[in-house]
Amino acid sequence: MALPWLESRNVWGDERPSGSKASEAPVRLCVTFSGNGFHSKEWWAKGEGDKMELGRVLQPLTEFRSKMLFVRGLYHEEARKGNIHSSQTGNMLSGAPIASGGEIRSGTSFDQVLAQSYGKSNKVPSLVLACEQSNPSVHKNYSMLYSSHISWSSPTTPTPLELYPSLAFDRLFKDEASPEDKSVLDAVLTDAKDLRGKVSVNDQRKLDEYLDSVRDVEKRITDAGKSGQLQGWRPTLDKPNIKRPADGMPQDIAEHMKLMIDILVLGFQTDTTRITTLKLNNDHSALRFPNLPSVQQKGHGIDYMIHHLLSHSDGEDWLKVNQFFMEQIAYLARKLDAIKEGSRTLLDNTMLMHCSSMMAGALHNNDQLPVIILGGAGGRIKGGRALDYTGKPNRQLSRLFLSMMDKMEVRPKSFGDGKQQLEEV
Amino acid sequence: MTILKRVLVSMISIGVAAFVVWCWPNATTRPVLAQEKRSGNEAVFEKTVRPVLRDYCVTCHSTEKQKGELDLERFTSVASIKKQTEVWEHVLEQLATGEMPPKSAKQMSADQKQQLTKWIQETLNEVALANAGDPGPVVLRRLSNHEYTYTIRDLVGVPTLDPAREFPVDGAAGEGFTNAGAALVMSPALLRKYLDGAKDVSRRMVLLPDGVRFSPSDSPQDWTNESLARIRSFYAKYTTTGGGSLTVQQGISLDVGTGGGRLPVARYLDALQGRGKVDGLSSKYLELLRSALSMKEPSILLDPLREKFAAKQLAVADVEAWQNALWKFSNIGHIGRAKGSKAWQEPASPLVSQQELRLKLDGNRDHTVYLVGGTAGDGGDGDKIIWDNPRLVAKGRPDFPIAQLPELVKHLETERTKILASTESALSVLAGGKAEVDASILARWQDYLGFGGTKLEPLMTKKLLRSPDYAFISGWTGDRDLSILANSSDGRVRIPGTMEPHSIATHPAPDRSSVIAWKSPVATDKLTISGKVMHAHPECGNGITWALEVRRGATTERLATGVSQGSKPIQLGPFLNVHIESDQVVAIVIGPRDGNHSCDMTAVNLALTDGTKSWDLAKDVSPNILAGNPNGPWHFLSQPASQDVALNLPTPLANWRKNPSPELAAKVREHFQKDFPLSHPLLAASIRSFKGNGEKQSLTSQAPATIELAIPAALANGTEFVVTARLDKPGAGSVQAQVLTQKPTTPINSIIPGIPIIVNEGSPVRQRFEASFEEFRKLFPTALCYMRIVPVDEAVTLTLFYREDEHLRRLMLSDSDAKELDRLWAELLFVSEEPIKKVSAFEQIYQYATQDRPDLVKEFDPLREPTKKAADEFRKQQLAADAVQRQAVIDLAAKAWRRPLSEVEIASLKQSTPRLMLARILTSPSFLYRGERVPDRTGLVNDWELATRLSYFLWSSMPDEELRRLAAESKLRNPDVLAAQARRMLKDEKIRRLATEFGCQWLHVRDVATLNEKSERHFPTFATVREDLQEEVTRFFVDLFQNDQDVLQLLNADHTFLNKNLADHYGLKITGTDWQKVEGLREKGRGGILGFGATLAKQSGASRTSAILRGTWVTEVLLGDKLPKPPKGVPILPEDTPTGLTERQLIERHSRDANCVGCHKRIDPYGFALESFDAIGRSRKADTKTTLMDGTAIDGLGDLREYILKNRKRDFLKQFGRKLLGFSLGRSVQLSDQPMLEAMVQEKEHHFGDLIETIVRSRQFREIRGQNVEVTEKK
Repeated sequence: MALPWLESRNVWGDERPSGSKASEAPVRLCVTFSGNGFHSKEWWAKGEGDKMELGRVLQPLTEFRSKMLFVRGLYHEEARKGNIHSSQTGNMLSGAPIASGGEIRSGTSFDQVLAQSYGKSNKVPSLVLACEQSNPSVHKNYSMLYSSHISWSSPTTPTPLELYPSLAFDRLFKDEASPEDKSVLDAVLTDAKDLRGKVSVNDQRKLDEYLDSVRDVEKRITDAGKSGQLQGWRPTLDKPNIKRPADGMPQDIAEHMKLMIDILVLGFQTDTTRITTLKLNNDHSALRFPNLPSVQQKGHGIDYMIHHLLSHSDGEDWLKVNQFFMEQIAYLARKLDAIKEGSRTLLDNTMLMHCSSMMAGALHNNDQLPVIILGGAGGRIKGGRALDYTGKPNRQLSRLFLSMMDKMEVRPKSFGDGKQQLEEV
Repeated sequence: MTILKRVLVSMISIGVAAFVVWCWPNATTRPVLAQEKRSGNEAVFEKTVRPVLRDYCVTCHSTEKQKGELDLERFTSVASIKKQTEVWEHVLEQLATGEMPPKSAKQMSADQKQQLTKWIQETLNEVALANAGDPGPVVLRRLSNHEYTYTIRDLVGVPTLDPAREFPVDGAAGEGFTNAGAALVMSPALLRKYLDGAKDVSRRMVLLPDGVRFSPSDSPQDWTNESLARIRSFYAKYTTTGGGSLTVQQGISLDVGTGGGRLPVARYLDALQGRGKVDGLSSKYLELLRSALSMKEPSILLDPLREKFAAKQLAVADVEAWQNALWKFSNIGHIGRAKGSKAWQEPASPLVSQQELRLKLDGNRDHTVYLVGGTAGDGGDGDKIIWDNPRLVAKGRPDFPIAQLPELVKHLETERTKILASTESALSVLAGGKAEVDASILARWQDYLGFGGTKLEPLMTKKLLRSPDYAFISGWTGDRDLSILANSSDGRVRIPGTMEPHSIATHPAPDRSSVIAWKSPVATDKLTISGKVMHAHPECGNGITWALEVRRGATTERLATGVSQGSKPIQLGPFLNVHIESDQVVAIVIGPRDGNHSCDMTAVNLALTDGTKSWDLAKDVSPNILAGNPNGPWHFLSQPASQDVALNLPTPLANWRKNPSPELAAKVREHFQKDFPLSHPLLAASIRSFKGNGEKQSLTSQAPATIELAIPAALANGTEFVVTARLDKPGAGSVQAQVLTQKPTTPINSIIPGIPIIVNEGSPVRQRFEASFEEFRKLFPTALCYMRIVPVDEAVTLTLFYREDEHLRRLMLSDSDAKELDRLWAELLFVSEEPIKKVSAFEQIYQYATQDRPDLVKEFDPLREPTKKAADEFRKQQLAADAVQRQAVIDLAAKAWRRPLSEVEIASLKQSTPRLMLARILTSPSFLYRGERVPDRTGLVNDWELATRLSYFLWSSMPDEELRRLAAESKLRNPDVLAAQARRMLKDEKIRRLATEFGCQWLHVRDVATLNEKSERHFPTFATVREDLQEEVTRFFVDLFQNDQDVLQLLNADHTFLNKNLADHYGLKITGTDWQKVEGLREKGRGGILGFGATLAKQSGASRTSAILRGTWVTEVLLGDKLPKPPKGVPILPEDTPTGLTERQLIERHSRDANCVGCHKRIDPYGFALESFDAIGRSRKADTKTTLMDGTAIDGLGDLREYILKNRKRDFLKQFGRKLLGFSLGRSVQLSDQPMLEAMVQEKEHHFGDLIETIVRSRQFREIRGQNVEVTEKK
């Protein structure tokens, strides 16, 4: 039975074990990523609350200063080894070592750890979106899969990216309950089990990816229509309020990003998913920005260099491109902040983390990684602060992930090279 | 491949060391024989190697420091080194690239370095040889997106399907290709896409009575159309459309639009008479025709054709003339009905027992008519012709026998004199004066001038009380849609056709015009007439003709006339000061255009005023059209559509009518004295009243002979000469009779096609003719088949598909062709579900046809039961086909899964419907993964797995029939068979996939066709050429593969492949626009992969070239050199490109930095040599002089090529082999592969086919690593 949202009356029977009050809207996680770092001198924040001062890269986020946690100085030790770009990105959200040669191996990323626990009762445990397709080649002995994927469902499985807005929309809202599909899946599950006995142990692991996938899709079909009711919490929307985007890939990058953000927000708003990842571009990105007016080549757009090469220049145009990405994050935050969920906004109930695989593209340096978190995790994160771990010991970025997982009541003993949470977060 | 090499490879693969030394001549890599080493090597390690390591390496790479995570201190024995060869391969690389020891550290001497390098190399070689042929670790591979797509296309035979177009992009691993298992992941989201993709494919499966086929479309309507197209193209192989000309027989045109199906007489006659090729012609029919045209049996009709054939002069026209005479065509819709035809093409017979001949006599002149008798080609025996009752016939008067013509002329001349004499007096009386005039003559003048009123008939008499949809639409109707309707309401309605409020509209019949006439109640000179005509149903009809007329007796004055089409209103008038007498008529005539009677609803109005009174059709009639017909002065009637309007009055009469004075009356007489033909309307009554003596006459002649008849002009005009010809007595005789206006020059003794032959019923002559005709028809049908299949010559018919192809089958088809045709027809009826569709079609037609024709019930009722029964039968057939279809899908499964299915699998699959079966087959891991059974010990994979390996290596797709057959016969395990198959497959066009998947991926140009990285501002033309750039590379590789060229051609080629677009891009001239092989590229500064625009563009920036990118590409991709990773913290490039610097100077400035110079000295010169190509691969002027790392000075692409061929050939070949091997195995190349790679390099020539053969014969390719194999070289 559907109950309307009643401000005065909290009726939810949350089955989650402890912590948050049953009546409260859940905490959501959204990780956004852009490759190649930022302008080497313009990524900074100082001060507190509304008084916070921001570097020029972050200026599009000025209105969210009081809801922003700026974190400086954290890094991944494993990302300092191996090649630049690919081995700095494939473990962005796990801190795991990266295999080279013909192999693909990283670590399960923390968003997927959450998806497999916190997110699993939603129709879509996690929505992994991208605005630039992955690069099918090998760069200096490392597969470019690494520089195209921050989200990993298992150490050997980069989570496939959804690039098409229409298909991302379908993923959330298409009715998957078809008895015919289920009969096909039942059958192929049998096929797979038969096959499993006949292949090597190594191959069995590979085949298990398949088996798990079939079971997962089957479960979605079986659960269709039940989702979200167990928690008792009512989302602010029970069906999408925007139209399904047109088929195909938007040619304009700004349009593409905006569509993906709209879908992502809709996923939260309808509680179809609570975990999302949005890769705005790849590390080693080939995007161009003819839509952004160039400072250095007046009268033209920034189309004379692709993103990756532009990142080596550290000029005004690079700054402009950085700001363009931050404007997308601001658009996302603004949308989330405009949605009321009880006394808070959806942004307040979200951890919106933006990060990149290196500090400055010009330097390829990742001894400290750029990270910001917008939103309050349902009152569990205090914004308006700039944390600086530079020069301190134990400044593993994985510790931040442990802290963030904690806000969602998922508390592994360790994660990556992180052994304990960051107290300050 | 040489015998020698085969032996070599097999020796290596089974590890016979004695041969290896002999074939391993390169000094740096020569291994020492295992026997002699075992004891000595350990000593060498201790004595010479370890100290060098200690002094120069272990200082940093110690167990404690582990700089770069490398601990070399732990290697204390040769055995420990052999266990971790990867580490030492890495060490070797570092030494070779000069990375280590670092410049800042203590340097070993050249000797020490050489010794160390040599020792490590030898030790590694030893391990390599010991493990040579190890299949290596190959992770279970999912089909890559490309493999998935190719496989589905091959499986279903639809090359346009693209089920993976929205799948996530695959990653690359191994040697950098997307076919390596490690990078091919699975996830719920992807599985969902596979399921949807499989369902999408299964929706395109067409179920057939004997199995299944696939369509690009998922719409059943398209499937039917495909089946139709298949039959039509089958027909088209044997038939012609008649050379584009329209053949009209008996009013049915044969070759309109999709028509065709004609017997291609011309091609066969040409072939048989030595004028044309027999290619593509039916040998069956050629033989039939040759024998029939060479026979000696007498035949009235064929004999003349045979004579011409013998002289090689038989022309198409000779045959066609008789085809036209002996065949007729009818509407499909009439076939099988009572009194309908039996078939579309039926025999026509020109045999008659008597014949009426007619000749129109036109023009006001004397005529001579010739009654010509011919013998019909069989001699004059008994050929006496009676010409019965020759006469002149005209509308509206009795016929005049020719014999009475002189008398009639005399009568008319008398009458004419009388009328002429009465001119002034008659006119005077008519003008109101007094004079003596004969009453009958006065009446003629009155009629002629329109003074006696005008007859208005036939009036419409049937009332339409209300239209089917609207009560306020009513009017009068006649036959076949003829109607006049009024809208009495304020509403604008569609009935269909639009009727405005308070308006009048009319609809003509196909052969009758609708006439709305206003009969004048007044006489005036001041009548004003205006009106409006508008086609009211333009979306459907083809328009109408209209005329506005003033009718005065027998004369009509046309005020305006035209055609109305589309919804544009046509204003008529106003016409001012029109003279009209009381009872004369103003009429609007609406006629059917071209006799087409659909949707001719036309809005009309007519308004008249004489200054005091006014009349308006819509106002007067629309409120109460049914009050009567006539309705006041308004009359609603019809006239034949073909009725010509009488000529306007001659000027003197018109003048007299305006001013009836005696002077003008005299002018009228003057006019008639000069111009008063006997056919004049004033004499019409005289002709009508003439009564001859009623005698009929007959003439007689003996064929061949001609009778000549003269007919005076006065009587000939507008009449028709008619006569009936017959033989003079029963029995023998045959003639052809003609009525001509020209006398034949010679007596007619031959048979003429196209005109009837008069013979007596039942006579032996008639039988001879009939037999001869039948002989001809059997040989020369006009049409072989009904090519349209879907009848379009009838508005409604119960026949959805009409089959008539007996002639085709009889004359042209072999038994197997006929069977195929039957199969196609069975498929069409099955796919279209024709019998089921027919049931509903029947009901519709039944309702439609019987609603106003209750008599048709009788005709239709008997059809109902058979139609229903056929549908029931069809449903049974559908059920019966289900089992066949399921079996067909099982057959597909065996192909898709690339192995035979087990009984259990078959039984399990068969439980679903065919579509769900297919969805499952294409979602199953057996399809999506290339699973291989793993034995305990390393050994051969089975034949099916081998077929799959080979097929995915060369074609990126499943095995074809031949591979499947050989696998089933267990023959593929024979390396000779396997190699022969590889050679065969290299020739196949599917090798294009190896060109894109291996060739383009290796060169990093797999995505250039869609490359979006170029600035549109700087390179607006790039988007128009990028597909061609990639196509050039693909074609180059395809040519290399198919023609088994030496792979050094990749560097050395003087040719490439270009189309016009790409040649223009390169600034080269070619003839024509299509893709072609172009020679002489080296002279133009290109040639080979170094000059591919695709690679040059890909290794450039968005707006400028990059010598660094190009140099890195040459170093890493072509030569396989390892470059150290770029240092972190390289200096930042200036914010703005300093003006005045070239791209090269910019890079030189950057690379001058001390941190960078070491590498850039190696990389950049290669790029500088290619600076004469811009960032999208066009030629340009640039400084291309440079000095390579080893001090060689080169200038441009040509020198670079020569340098690589001379100094780096080995590295290039090894890199190519390494990539090809990596691609073929789906893994990284490992140490134990080195012997095979060396063997490839060592050959004198390097033909691609030989390399492929080396690979497919290798153990790596044919074997699989066992479960229990210890892996020695992993870290």
